[in-house]
Amino acid sequence: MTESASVGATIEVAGTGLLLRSDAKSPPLRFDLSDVVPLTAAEQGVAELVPIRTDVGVGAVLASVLLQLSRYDGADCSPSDRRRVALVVRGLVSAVAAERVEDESFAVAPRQQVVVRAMQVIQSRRNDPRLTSQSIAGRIGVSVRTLHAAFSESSTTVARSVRAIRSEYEVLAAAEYPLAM
Amino acid sequence: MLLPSNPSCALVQMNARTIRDAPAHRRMSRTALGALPMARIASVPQVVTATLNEVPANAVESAQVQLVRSGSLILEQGGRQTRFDAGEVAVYDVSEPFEFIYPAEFSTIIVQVPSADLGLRRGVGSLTVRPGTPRSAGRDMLTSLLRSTDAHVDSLSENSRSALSRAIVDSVRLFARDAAGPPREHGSARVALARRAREHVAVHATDVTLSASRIATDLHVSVRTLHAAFEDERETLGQVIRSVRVDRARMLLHTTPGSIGEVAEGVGYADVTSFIRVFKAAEGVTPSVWRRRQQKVGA
Repeated sequence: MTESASVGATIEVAGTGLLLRSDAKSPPLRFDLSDVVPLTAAEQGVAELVPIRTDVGVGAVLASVLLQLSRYDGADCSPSDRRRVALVVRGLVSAVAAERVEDESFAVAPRQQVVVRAMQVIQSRRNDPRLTSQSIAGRIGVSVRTLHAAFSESSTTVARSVRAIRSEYEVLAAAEYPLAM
Repeated sequence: MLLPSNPSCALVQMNARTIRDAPAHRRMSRTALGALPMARIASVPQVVTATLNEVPANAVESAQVQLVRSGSLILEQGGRQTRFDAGEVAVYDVSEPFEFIYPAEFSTIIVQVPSADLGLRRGVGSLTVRPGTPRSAGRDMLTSLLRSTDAHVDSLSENSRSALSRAIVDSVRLFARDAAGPPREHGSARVALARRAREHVAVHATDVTLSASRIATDLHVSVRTLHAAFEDERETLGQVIRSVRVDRARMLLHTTPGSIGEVAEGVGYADVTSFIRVFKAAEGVTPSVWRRRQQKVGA
């Protein structure tokens, strides 16, 4: 058995906040992503299209994680822990956007599709020193020019997005205690 | 019996033997989360021994994360035995000899993570989870991710699996950091005593006679010394005991139909009223209300 949201429960993405709505009677669970680098405008737009279903796909996993995290308040987590937790949650929202890009029932603009797919490549290969615009474009099957244009429409650049993701993890890694016991 | 193993992305080669004379069944399935191999195993009671001499020499140094879904796991590694009950997560080095003892029928999920992905500074050997670790967001997030990923993995796209593998790796890092605890003065007797006490609580939490004086006796220290060991900890000894028992109570309430009295007894409370009071203080609602809410929102 797994913790999962009730039938019909949804997750709304609004700005840097997530709202898990289980039913009309209970107040929604809130989760804040303002501690981490925000989603790109394209990811945000796709995630906000309609509330996220919690019975299938990454949405189901995200709902389970949010339910579990709802047991914690600010006093339970250090600031770096909150950021790392928020990073995981942001990654799941980003993956939900990627699911939607592959689902024809969602009306996702072509340039949004490019950015959402590219962000998945950047996150999965953030430790790869050979990660470049060329390699990202090649992986998602578009030209470098198309890739740059799509990011430009999302008010950022490929290089800035790569730097943001990498530096965020580097800062957190530096803040971690040595794991040796 | 040798469990099947794929040298390209293998879980560790292991030798398993049943430990009761009973009709044997063993179900094992494998899948992949991005680059992380994941296995589900359900079986009769058994002992599983790593056969490290059969691991390919070029195998990637890894840790395994094991979520015990039902039954329990006793992990023996480095001369120590650590027990993990249903709902608990074990993280261990698979390049060092180890043995699993599953004393009853069990089901479990195992994910293997390359140690390089965990950012370990002294090798994967440093990553061993202490039982009785205080409640932590990392542990609970990891548990939740493993459970829900297991429940939905068959319907996930390749990209979604890869995204979840990243989430799991990040959660293992956070969990392991929590388990290691903040930096402390090396060799501190107080820290060592608090750790031993936590381990004792984790093993004996369901014993209704568990108390500070009993733990002090078992650890050969005075009650005063024992309490002093927790002065620099995040929780008092009493809070540690209550926290472990409430965690297990949540698991029993969530996964079994037992009465509140049975759950109370199952987690070490002879007096159901005391159990309800402690549970309500931790969760804000009584066990009955908590269970109803879970049933309402749960699958």
